[in-house]
Amino acid sequence: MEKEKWIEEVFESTKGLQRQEPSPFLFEKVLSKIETEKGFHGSVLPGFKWALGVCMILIIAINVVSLGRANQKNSQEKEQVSEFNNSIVYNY
Amino acid sequence: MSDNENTPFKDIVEGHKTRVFNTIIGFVHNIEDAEDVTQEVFVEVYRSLNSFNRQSSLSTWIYRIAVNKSLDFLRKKNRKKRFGFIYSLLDKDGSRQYDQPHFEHPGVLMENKEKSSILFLAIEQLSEKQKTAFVLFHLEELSQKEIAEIMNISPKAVESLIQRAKATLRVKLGKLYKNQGI
Repeated sequence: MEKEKWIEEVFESTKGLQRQEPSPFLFEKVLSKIETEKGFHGSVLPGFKWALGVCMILIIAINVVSLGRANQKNSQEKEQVSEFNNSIVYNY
Repeated sequence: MSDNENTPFKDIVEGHKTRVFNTIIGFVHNIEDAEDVTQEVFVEVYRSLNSFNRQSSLSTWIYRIAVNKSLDFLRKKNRKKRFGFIYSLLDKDGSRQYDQPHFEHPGVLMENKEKSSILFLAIEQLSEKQKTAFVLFHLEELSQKEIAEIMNISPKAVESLIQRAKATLRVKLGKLYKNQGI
């Protein structure tokens, strides 16, 4: 029964809890956070998004051009090899 | 932002800050963390004020944000604690401490400090729903109807959550009583 009494006392220990007050500068701190967020979303992020978009397009374009050139080079080499083979066969 | 532009928002902050702050203390058990979460709550209120649909009262809506932000904070803290535990396994002497000491609520009477910190320790082990119902009922002394509106469930469900929370706490406190040889 001691145990039950103790548990009840633990439950009752927060009765009459004195209310706590947040910092007197809470409103100013909230405003400062809002302003920081606005600045971040309003100026840095859109600029960053644009730059990121341009970079992505450039990377894709460079890749496409390089692939095209590589294919062209490949087919030219193939042509040269087959011409060379033909000439060997012909000479032989 | 001009001062005139902020007046209604300032009124909202001034009118709700104490209740919000004390509710959050009941969840996070740390005054500095409660300050940070309170700021986040009002930033969210400012951000979402236009989408507030007035289906519930403004204070119910703000309470709901406060509860959600508190639970988000606790989830993040628990994730960090898990990483901390893994890190301590890799640590040579394993002596790092990631658990904060027991919380002593500054508003509790001196003679109740020890028992209330035991209660706060036990509350930390409740499930999110039981914790929410218990904190709002037992610490914030809200009615079951108000809690039901905040949690978006029926008053009957709130009653059941409070009963289950109390039963769980009794078991946890019973074990603490045995272990500590009180």
